[in-house]
Amino acid sequence: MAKRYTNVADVLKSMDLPAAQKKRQVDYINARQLSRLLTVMRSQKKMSQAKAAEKLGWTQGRVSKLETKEDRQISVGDLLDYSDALGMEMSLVFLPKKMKIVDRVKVHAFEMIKLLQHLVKLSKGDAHMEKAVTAFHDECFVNIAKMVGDSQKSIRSKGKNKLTVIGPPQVEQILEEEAELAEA
Amino acid sequence: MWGIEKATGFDNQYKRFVKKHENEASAAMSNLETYLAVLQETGNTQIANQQPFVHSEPEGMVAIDQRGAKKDTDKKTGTLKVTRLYVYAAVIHQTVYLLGIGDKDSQKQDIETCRKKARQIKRRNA
Repeated sequence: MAKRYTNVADVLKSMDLPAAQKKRQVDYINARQLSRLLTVMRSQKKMSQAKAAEKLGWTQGRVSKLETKEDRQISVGDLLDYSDALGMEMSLVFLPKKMKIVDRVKVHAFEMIKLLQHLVKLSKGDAHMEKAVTAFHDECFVNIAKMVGDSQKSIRSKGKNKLTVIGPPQVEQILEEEAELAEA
Repeated sequence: MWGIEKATGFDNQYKRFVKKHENEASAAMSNLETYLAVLQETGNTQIANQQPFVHSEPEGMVAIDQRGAKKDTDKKTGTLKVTRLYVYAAVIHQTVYLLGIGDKDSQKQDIETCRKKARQIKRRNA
């Protein structure tokens, strides 16, 4: 059965190519993550490049060029304009370079709490809104607990089936116990 | 989740091609990564196939081009070789099969060879 890869970089790494050439090709792909994301976001909106160009007031060629640019060559201005054309808001997160994954999870959790507290603040004094925000807190609690639980389940090792051995002594004991129960 | 598999002979053909046209091959593979990302996020082959670097071919195949490739500044002409990376996206198995890679000069032969591979894959998956 042919090997299955989840990304193109792994396909390239699997090939019998000179190491330096392989690295150049993988680096080329990795240097375009942002421009790739722009294409994906536009596609999620079912928008053609021509439509995006129209919304931006750009030529289609300029949109095409942006979507294949190296990330370091993309300006923040272009990103802001592009996300605006897609009806999206851009936000930037700066994190320490060697930040552990567990700490990144905590950063997102704290950010979530900030947003929930902002909702609580907005709802103060409005009974209807307070009720809706309370319900949303319940919904968040259930959904997030489920998501974390599902993630945790996926790391628990599956219990191996235990071998049950019953021999004549055990069978006799079972029969005696059943007879006692029948008399009782 | 969508994945990639290589059809028989792809590795050797790619190795020969990348020796002559590394920039074009890199760009085509980068565009393939974008194609895969669009499939992953939209689950829709029609949307993926409407990307400007994707060209429809027979037998349900598509060809991904070298759009965005860097031009070698030391080459006299500075023009890029028109490249086609032939793939077949099997929706039921969520797999993109890499069939072949070539340029305009070998296009006719490449399409014929890749068509046969696409048919074999369809028969195998049926």
